[in-house]
Amino acid sequence: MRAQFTISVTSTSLSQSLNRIFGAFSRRRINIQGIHTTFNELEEMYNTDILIVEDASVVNKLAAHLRKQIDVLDVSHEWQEGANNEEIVQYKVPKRNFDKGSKAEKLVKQYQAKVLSVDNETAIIEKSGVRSENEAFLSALGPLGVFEFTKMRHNIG
Amino acid sequence: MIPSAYKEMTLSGQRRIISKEKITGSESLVRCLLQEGVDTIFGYPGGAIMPVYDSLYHFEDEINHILTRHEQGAVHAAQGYARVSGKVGVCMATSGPGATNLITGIADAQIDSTPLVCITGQVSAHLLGTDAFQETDVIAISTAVTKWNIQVTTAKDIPAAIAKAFYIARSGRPGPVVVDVTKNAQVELASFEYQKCLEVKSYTPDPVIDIDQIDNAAEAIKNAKRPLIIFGHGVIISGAKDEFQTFVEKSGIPAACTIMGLSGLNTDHPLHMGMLGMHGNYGPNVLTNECDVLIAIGMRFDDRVTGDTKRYATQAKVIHLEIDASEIDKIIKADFPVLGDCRTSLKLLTERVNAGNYDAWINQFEHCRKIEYDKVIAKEISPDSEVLSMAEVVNKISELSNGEAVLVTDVGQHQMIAQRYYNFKNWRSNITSGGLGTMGFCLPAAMGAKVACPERQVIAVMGDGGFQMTLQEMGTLFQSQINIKILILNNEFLGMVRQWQQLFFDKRYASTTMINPDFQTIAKGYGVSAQKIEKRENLEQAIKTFLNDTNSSLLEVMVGKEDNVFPMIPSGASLSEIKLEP
Repeated sequence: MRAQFTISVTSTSLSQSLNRIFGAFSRRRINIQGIHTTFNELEEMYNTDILIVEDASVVNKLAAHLRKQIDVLDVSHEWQEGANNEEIVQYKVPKRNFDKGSKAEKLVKQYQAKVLSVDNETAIIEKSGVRSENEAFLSALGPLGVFEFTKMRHNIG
Repeated sequence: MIPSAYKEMTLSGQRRIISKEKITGSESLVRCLLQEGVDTIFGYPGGAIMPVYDSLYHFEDEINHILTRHEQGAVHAAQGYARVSGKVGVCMATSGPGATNLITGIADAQIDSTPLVCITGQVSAHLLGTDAFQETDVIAISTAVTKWNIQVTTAKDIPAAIAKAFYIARSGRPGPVVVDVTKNAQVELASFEYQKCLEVKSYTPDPVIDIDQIDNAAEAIKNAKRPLIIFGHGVIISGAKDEFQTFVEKSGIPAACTIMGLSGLNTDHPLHMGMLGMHGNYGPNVLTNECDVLIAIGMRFDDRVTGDTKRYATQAKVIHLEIDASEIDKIIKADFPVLGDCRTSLKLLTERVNAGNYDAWINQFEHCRKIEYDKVIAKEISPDSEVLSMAEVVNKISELSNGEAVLVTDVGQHQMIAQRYYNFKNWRSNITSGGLGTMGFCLPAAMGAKVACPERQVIAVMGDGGFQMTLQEMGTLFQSQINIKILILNNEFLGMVRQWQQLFFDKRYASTTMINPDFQTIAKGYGVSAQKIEKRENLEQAIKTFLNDTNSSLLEVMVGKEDNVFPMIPSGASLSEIKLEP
């Protein structure tokens, strides 16, 4: 059964290993839904979290393939529901709908989001939370106009 | 020998070579190769690798550089060298087209687990990414087909990169490594310090064997009534010649090999039941689907071996001895995986198994062998037709070479026939492109094999199609005085494709007819003596002349144009659906 998985790869020498890591996905025609790369707590080590939707059997074989790459130190994979997958999402919206006391301002409070910046034309709103919460907020904002939205993911534990 | 300008130091038990003076990166590279025991390089010079060639000029007595006629020839030659010797093959090319011409051979080495270090020149570091003359991103291009690759942009990094490259290429499941060296790194000066690589933090080449896995596998074997060993290239790579034979003989279990496993056990060993696969032997294929325990050793369940995996050995418990963890459960689920070098695991397993009585089971193989002999083999080695068959030629070659030659094959019908009918008596004697199926592999690979083992006779068997893909390497044979035997089984077709067109495309022979040049004239132009025969009465004498020639020689044999290779398991069919005739 297809499910959402987060594959976490710990590797050395990011410039050398990224091509190999992503090649393992592309040769299996696996679409990557999200990527997050950061320094590890160890020197010259990097963590790359890759979000995909696939069958568990495919994910197991993919992880085994990644694990044998020379510059890859460790690979773990978790079913999405088993991990604490926090997202930080930013929404760019038209300023005119964000006057004080407006419906938009109420939505920001209701969904525990915050206004990051405002200029003459647009406002940037940020919200953190799991995917379903952020998507609910996007749906609620939709009628008021959303120019862009972008998100980053965090895996903790 | 280390010149006086260098001193040898021992630090923590590891040998280090340190120079007093700074040397160029290119000299450093050559000294690294010497430290790794390299005695032969196959290569082709060009602009971005010229400094290394200039350094090689000063080491001609220590490293034999063989100038091939194309970079593809260099990499296949390095493969042949590595496969027959067990050492790391080394090839070298310039940047751009030189590097890209290596790629087919690198991919071939990757899929057939052949240890190579491929050194490519690269434009200077400041030109990287500018589309400079002969610049190509060989690291990106080669990533998918290498075990590891690295670009070196400063001279001081060369020794560590080379040390790591050799360690990775030869250890664990071997494979090709590309080291791309920018031109500035070749000409810069740097201190030389060489220390062999003994480990890489993120890499476990030789997994520790779990004794519980051995015990579980042994228990499964003890309870088996109809066990079957299937073995592949891993047995040869691990050097488990004695360990494997001992296991087979002590257990008394019948064994069958993949194409890549040929010569891992003598063909005429009483427990060798033949070859698996699409054109393998009848018994091992159909009885895979009747065994109760399948013991897979150093093989990876290639689709040509399994046919339809949903109908592959579903009745059997599967034991899989394998060094590469990603191969376990990749194609066929292992009930009893044994992760580790099979040389070690076979020893441990042999200690735990006893001889079983499998006479009735072995008789089933004998029965199948008779069926195959009557329906296929007898007709092939003693055909009624006036036209020679590939099988009778290979059979005669096998007889007159006593099965002792290194047999190098190209890809196609002749390959299947050669491997079905050559009676291998020596270890490491079958060199072929098994996984990638690279036409043009044979001639240069045979050349490399001969350089690695000059005392052995090397016979290159190819078709008229594959020969023409790399025939220019006869120039290398001529220049470097390499003595190999070139057998062309000429059916004036791309035979295997034609066979499929006949069987599956209603005989529409699209672009498979070959109108060939005069191969004898071409060979003679390269100083290779040549004969051509069409009649059976000339066969034996022609082969004797061919094999006894003190220089390279070529024998072209005209064979049946529309002969087919049988048995055959149609693509996607079950092993049980193997066909013995059309």
